[in-house]
Amino acid sequence: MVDKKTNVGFKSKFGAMVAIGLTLVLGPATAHAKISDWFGNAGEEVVAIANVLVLIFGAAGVVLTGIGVIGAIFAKKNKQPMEHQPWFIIGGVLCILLVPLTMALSESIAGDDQGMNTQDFLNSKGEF
Amino acid sequence: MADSGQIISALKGGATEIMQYFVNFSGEFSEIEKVIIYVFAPAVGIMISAWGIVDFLKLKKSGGQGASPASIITRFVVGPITIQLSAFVRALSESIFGEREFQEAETLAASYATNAQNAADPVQAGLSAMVAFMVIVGWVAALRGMIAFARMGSPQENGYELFSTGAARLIAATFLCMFQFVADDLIASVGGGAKQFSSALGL
Repeated sequence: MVDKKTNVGFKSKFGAMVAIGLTLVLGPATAHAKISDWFGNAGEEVVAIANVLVLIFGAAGVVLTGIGVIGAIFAKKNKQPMEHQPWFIIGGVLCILLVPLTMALSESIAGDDQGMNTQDFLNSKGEF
Repeated sequence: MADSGQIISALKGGATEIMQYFVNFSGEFSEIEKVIIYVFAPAVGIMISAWGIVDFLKLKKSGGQGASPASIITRFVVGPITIQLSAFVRALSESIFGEREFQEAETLAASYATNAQNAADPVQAGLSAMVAFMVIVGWVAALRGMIAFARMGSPQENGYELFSTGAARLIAATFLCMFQFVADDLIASVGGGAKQFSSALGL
């Protein structure tokens, strides 16, 4: 028998009700998940993503520095003035040194690496 | 026939049962606080610093469009401060409220949640759970304030508006995180008694 308004059959409705019922009955016994667990899991993901982004940033820095150095050599060879090459070299090195640079700036500003340490965060795997 | 003592103790028992829901929920705040301070804030801080380096590269490449020396310096300063968000809020709170005895800033909501769980009085438990919730809202507001500060130096953004937004959020965050002292001082201003709210919390 099919409901004309929703176009959904009795079997489908009954199946959905059984699934919801089983979830409500068995869910609390099997899941044991809390809202704080969601945050904890999201935190683990954020740490993993941040590590990958730092790695990608470092790799981009190597490429930029390489382009800058090669560009500078060619500019010198062709006796042309350097334009973007020094920026690429400095920027690339800064990309590679993102974490030490951030840590150094933290210590310069706070006077001490108090509170959260950047390296601790990246090594934490989301567990504190 | 029940006497007034029995009715009051029954009401107190009922209130304790209801309050247990809030106390259980406040237990979640300690974990959420940890994730905000130890994961989200450092991640946002590193990304702000990285954004500063990208601005440095854009400065020459695109003729300075979307980047300026001010934006680079702002992001190099705001990024590391965001990583140490709890230390920064603590420093701000000491500037506003003076040096007072409280738990480490990193475990502020957790300390109120523990206080709620250990409280015998349902009012104490409820107040502690409420303050723990305010601390969490405060940490989120502080993080949003730092993001507003990070955008401040961009040429295409309204720097003054972002500065005022960031400053307002940061001050509100400090007041929310240190709500115990705000309530203490407000009550002392009106009623004259010192540490009234702290004693209501059982601290």
